Amino acid sequence: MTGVQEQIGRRPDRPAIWARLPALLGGATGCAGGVLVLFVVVCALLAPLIAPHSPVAIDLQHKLAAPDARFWFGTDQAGRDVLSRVIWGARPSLQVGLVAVVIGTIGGVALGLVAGFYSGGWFEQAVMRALDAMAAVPLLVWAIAIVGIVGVDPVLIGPFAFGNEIKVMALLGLLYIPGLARLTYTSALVECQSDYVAARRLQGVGGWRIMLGDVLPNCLSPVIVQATLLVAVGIIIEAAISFVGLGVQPPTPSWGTMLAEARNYLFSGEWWLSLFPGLAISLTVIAFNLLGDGLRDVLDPRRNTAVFTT
Amino acid sequence: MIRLFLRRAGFSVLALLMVSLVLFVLTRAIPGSPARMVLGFDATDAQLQQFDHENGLDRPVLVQYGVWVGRLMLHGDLGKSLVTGLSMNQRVAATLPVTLELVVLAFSFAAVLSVTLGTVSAFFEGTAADHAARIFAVVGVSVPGFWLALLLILLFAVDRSWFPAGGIVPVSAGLSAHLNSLILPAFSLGVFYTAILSRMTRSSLVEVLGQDYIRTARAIGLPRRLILRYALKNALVPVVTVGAMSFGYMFGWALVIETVFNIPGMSGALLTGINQRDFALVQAVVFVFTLIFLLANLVADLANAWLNPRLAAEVR
Amino acid sequence: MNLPEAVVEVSGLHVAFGPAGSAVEVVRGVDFSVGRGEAVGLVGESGSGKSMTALGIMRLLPRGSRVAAGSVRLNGCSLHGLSDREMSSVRGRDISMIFQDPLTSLNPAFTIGRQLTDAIRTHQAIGRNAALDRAAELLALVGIAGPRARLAAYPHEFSGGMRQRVAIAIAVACQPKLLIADEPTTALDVTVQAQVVELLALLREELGIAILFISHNLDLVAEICDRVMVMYAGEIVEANSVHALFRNPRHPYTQQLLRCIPRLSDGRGELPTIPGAPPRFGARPDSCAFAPRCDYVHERCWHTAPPVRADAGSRVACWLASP
Repeated sequence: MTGVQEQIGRRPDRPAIWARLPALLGGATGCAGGVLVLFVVVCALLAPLIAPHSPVAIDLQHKLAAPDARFWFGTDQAGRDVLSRVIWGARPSLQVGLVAVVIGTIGGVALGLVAGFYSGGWFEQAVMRALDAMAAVPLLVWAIAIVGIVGVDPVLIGPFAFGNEIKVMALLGLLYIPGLARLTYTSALVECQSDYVAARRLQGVGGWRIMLGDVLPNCLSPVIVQATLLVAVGIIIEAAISFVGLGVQPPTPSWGTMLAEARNYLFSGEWWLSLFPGLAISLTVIAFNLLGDGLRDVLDPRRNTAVFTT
Repeated sequence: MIRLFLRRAGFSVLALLMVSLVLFVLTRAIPGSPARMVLGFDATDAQLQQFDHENGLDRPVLVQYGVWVGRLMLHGDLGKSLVTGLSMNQRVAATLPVTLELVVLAFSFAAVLSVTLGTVSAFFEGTAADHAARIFAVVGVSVPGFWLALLLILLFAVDRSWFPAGGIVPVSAGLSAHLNSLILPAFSLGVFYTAILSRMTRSSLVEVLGQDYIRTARAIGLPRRLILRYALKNALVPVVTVGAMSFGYMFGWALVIETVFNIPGMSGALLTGINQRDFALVQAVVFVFTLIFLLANLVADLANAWLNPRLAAEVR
Repeated sequence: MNLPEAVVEVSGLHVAFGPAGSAVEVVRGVDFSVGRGEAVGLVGESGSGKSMTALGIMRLLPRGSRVAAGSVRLNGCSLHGLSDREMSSVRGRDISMIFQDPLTSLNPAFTIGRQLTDAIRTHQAIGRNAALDRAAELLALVGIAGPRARLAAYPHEFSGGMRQRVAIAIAVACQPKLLIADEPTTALDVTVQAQVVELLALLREELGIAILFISHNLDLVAEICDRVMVMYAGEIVEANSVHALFRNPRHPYTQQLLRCIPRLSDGRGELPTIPGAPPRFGARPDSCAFAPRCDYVHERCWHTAPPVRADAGSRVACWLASP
């Protein structure tokens, strides 16, 4: 009798998430991605230290200089060093990418968990309907439209002034919620049917504690994969929005705005203005995609994570 | 199946209305009415109020929305721009075909290429061709289309004028010239989706090829092309779904690509609307985009049900 | 005993699994033949190599495995020199196969009429309507009611037993000389099992198809087969006519298998089992693979693999039979 009780009271036999990370590093794609991601993050964090010149200092004497020993990536139309701007440009891209995913994950996982846990109730129906409606929104179009309507002025919250990109972060985060909620919901539904949850309920443990302590860790795997891939998506979208002028506002360096400015110099031969920012975007996105793919092989071999197109 | 379709269609209409309501409320909630844009900065308050009243802008938001929806449902009329006075329908009719053509071209190219690549990749799994295709897929998914566009212009339109760097040559000037001017934009737009769809095709086909029914097909001696067809009909189901959704998403990216190439499509309308704070225009354009997107999803569902009869029997 | 003319002859078949250096043999030197119109059973536990033998004959081995040695002859011609395309035309036309799980063996996206006509028209040049007629005939033959109408149905509209009948219809559509049935009844209910076995017997009578019936169920095999071969750890340890095998099993493994079949006449008490487990792949070639579980094991069994003793129509590989 005790043997049976012990068995259904125990959580299913699966190693904790942090124990799996070493296995992840074994995968070639995940490894490569992880290293690249680390590289970009370090560049962003240490930008003030590693950028050879100031990203905003105007120096019209050296404007539009081709890449040479002093300016490795050349200079732009205001004489600013492209390399330094590229390094600093990692910041808004990573900020938008990561913050949007954090918002989406917290909101989405919370919604999905509760909807799955209290399955059969009004909450689940309401949430699923609302998510279906939100899925009707093509991401980029709406991001452009909403930021366009709201305007590109900085946002003032209390004594702090945030750049325009915070709107992009918030909007993207919001638009990520349906996908992540649905992912969590499907996992949570399955988990909540299992014996260990029933056992916990019998033990008298409160709903929230079961959700957070028992169900959540088992739902996280596909969410982690999806979140990583969404960072890549966010970076591309941020670049696109900045490219059309609705994202990061000058003079803050951002890869998207640099490409927008480079457009004016296509025919006059300043190829370096187009090449390097775009290369930075591509490498960063590849990094997160490879990392996500590697994680997926480990955490989600059955491919429950949808391919997220935008 | 008809019932499923009607349910989905009904729900899509509802979703469309809900989201356009959200946008509508947003446009009304932003301070700074178009009155000032039209009448100028030195207009008096009385003139501004007069303008608002004439255009129904002082009525409650929901009433305004009701009027807008009513006009749309009954007459198919997207209304008139408050800033320019032009009919939205006309504006959309002038710009939508351009964007539509670009997207259709890009999508066709992406669909054909991705299924081919994915199939070759799956059939020759593990070979050099497979690895090359997979590398292409990862790169294609990561490279932003508008940057690719810039590079292509640099390579092919600046030094060698194989393709024009901007604008679209109208059909009247010759079909081949017209298509030629669309190649770079369509390619830039399509690469991303080629990468995504080829990856999906590959993984789906690899999975299907390992299924029992393919083993049965081989056990009774079906020739290779039949086995391919047996496999593809099953493998393409998720690809079709994502493909149809991609068609809808492509319109969003077409906006950005049009900007690079100065193509007079819907992007121009949207960005002009934003710049001029012409919210009626923004509303109209977003509505059309969302409508197309929902239609694309409906088509995806239909195609799904047709390809996989078992799904048609189940109600979602 | 006058053996019927052989349709398929397998000699010294070895199937290996795994990369070249560290490959494991899952089929270790199998010889047998199936005569025209004969029904031969191949019995063994899971992992004994019976399915791999069948797949090796068909050249449908899963990725990572291959025929390491030996030959398979169809009407005297070796199958191994054939190109993929030639082998593909042999399959279905000369040798055909049905598998264990009817739920997954049929393509869910095509009607069974389509799957049948494709099978028919691959090997015969007849028009679509003629093929449909033939398909309806086949469905009637395998006992599907209302065959003409059912041609437009999809696999998911059939029950498990019906699906297996459809699979059989597809497999015999071109009247192959040999039908390999790999555990055709394992996934079915007991009552349906009997029906499928009856169907196979009927087909053998009406169409003269030879059957290689693979199963772990000796009883079922006994119902339909003339001869049976017992396989253990990749080798055939005993082969005999069904009557003789049941009456006088000579290999200890066969004896234990027969003991394990529960009978109504048995008293109450524990069901007998064979202690131990089959060897994991890579059994040492120079000892008897069954030695660890054998009741009669003695010194020699551990050092030297027993020779195969072949009498008229029967074979056994055991030191007991070859002292």
